[in-house]
Amino acid sequence: MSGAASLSVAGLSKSFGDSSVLTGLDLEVPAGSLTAVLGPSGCGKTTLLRLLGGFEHADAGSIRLGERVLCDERTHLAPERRAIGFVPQEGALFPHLDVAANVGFGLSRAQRRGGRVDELLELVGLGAMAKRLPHQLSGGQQQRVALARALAPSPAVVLLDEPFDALDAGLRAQVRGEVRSVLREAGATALLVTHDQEEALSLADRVAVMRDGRIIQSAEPQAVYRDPVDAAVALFVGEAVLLDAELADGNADTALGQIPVRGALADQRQAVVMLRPEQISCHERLLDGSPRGRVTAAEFFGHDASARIAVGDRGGPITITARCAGHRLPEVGDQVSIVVEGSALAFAATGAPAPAGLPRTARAALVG
Amino acid sequence: MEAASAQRSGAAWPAPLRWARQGRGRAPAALLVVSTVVALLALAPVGFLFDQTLSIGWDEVQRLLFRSYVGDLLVNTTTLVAVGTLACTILGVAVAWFVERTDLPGRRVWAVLAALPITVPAFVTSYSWVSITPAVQGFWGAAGIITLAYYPLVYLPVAAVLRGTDPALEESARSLGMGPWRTFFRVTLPQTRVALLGGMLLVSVHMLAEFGAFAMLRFQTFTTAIYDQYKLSFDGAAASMLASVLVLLCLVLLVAELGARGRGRYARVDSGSARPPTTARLGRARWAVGGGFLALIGLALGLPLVTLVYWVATGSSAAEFDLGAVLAATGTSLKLGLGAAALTTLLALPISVLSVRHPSRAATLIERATYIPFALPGIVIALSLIVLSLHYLPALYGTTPLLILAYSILSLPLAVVATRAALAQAPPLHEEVARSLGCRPIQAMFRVTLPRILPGLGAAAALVFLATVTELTATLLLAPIGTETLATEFWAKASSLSYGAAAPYAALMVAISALPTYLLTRRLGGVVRPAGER
Repeated sequence: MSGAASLSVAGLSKSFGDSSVLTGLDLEVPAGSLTAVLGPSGCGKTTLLRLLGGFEHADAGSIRLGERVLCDERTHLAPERRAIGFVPQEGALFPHLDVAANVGFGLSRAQRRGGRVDELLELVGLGAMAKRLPHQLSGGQQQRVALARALAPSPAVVLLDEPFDALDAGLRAQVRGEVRSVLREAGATALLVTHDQEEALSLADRVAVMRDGRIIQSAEPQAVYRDPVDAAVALFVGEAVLLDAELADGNADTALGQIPVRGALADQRQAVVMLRPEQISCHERLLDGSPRGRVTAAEFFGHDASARIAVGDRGGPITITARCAGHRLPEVGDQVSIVVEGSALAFAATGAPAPAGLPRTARAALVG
Repeated sequence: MEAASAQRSGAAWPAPLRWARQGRGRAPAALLVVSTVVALLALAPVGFLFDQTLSIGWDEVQRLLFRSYVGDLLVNTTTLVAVGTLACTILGVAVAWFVERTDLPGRRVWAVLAALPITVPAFVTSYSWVSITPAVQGFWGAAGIITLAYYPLVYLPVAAVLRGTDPALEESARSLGMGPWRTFFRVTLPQTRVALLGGMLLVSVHMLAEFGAFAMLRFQTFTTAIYDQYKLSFDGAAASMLASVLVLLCLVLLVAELGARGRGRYARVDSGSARPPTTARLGRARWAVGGGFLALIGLALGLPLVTLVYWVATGSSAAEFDLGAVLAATGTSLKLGLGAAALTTLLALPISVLSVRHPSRAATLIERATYIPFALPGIVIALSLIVLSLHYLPALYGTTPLLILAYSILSLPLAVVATRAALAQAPPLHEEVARSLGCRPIQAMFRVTLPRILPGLGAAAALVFLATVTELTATLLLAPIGTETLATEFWAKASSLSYGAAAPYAALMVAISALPTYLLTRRLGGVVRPAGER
């Protein structure tokens, strides 16, 4: 078929009955990249994939693959003519075909004879499994076969629908790494949807954050993490400490003292600034001139740990989260000094900031 | 439909469900056209029937319908169908559960034996019983014998679902604090709902249409009354009036089943490597249950067969025994059965694809239409086809193709139910993956779905073959001159009370239909075999 191509989506809209699922979605997937669409459950990720695959008709907008129009007001290319590979959740291998036949499904007879199947099985590291039936494979192996099957006809783009969701945690990291290196080696353009921020950040070249049926930020993982477009995205892609601040001369005056700010909010006085917990360290040896707080909770993860610290503030005590090395975890009730490293990102102060102490899921819900 | 699909795609569904539930889009026009043609074909006899009924005028209708004779028939038929269906349901579900989900000793053997009574035509079973004692004639005899003959229609589909159900569902129920009984009624049984209701529908329409058994047992129902009117008093108007009432009864059943079935769809979403179900321990009760199975098989299968063997031994030594005639009739029955199986499965496929893949009001209507002729006695289908062919295609009258067409119309519901169940288990996701790999829709159907449902199609064909080889009344009327089948020869001999002469034909019918049943149960017992064992 065709080599890797870039995928551009513009103004894509889709509703079912009177519930709008996609509302003018724009997305660029550069050729050869692995882009993760990250969004909470129910934000329209699956519908986006179904539209890209051609299984649903868009209400408005266009999808282009390189120079080819897959879908616009006049065109709707059938799924089989799109050259878009698809790896569903849980693989969906054809149960009546063995591994080799699954991988060779999208190939012509000549291609099947030409060793393409073996090539792909080698690529996914399952050369010895060619004659097995799907139910004789582990979940991770099924997933790799599904990937090989999708890659076999050399599609321009491969879509992966939460491909690691069905795997248990131990296997997930491993299969993730394998899938990434297979996609790299195949040089394929890949679009993966997931609700797992860790997965998106660690796996993808670019992360597109999806909310309410559109992409609200698309950038490299570091950029999304470091400079999220708003507080909700900040909380969705990781833990964040949000503080009320007054801005002046490139500095924010906060409960944690003066912190340099980035972000184009020079003319604002009132703002919310965002720090990542790993920018905040706590010291049991009390330092002069740095803010102090009392440890209210400590979570130990082994390699590192996080401490929740109540800090006295003008508007009453607030709770922040600090990351520290596992062996340096303070005890609950300790008085500590707080040191902030690097700069904070400023957002416009729209109403009350989200409390930083919310549990992970509740914070994720803010985005959705 | 728009609103419904909006709800299905709503944000509340977890991701895998959303894939399965999102609208599959409108049905291709060709599929709709083909399905409509098949449905119309199936409806033609009913159309003819109502046309005849209406043409005789209201006064005549009143004279023919509102009399105590019809009232008696109505009571006889409905009580028999109700009692028989209830008994078949309880017996069928119990047998399925014991065989699939308990440590009943020898359950693999019981699983096959319990399916076998369906291979013995009800009129042969009745013949066996009547030839032993006339005491079985009457309501309770008829209800008992018909239950023993038809419970496998519930047992087989329910057993198939019980085997395929994900054990995680039941385990979850148990872990949520439900006891085994509540788990069975609230989780296991609802899983089998589509199969169970389908089986119950089959049983009740079979009973509505049964003729031979009731004639043997001298229990008057609508079918025997219609046969008498046509054959003995040549009263076409009265017969089609009775048949019209029968059609209405069938419609009531269809509507009831439709209401009870609900909107559940059962496509399994994941890759289908479910563990085998866990089995319940019967403890000491296993011997009592084993005894029950022994009694059931003895009554439903052993006794009719032993009697049959006795009469074969008696009959084949009699002077009138003609081996050539028996062999000729066997060949004819086989040919007709295979032809009907092929045609009917082919006709059922578009209907099933439409109703499973593109559900809509129209699709349901079309599917239901194919069930209607099943509740018509074969004789009504046959007579209406005779009249229709004489009217429109005289060349077709008295030919084998017309007979096969009659068989197909008669057994279309069997094939639709079987192919439908198979399709419902093949997730549409596989077709979508196939399309993303470059298959056109029809190719995806052939390369992915067809292999998956091939066993189901085989089951459909086997069911049709069974029904055809043992079909009696339509054959009596439509068989071209000189075409003698096992069923017609048996009937001719048995009606004249020559039990011995009739026995070889009955025995062969049973023997021939045993093979597809064996294949059916093997398929229902079939797990996907690992490659190394092929």
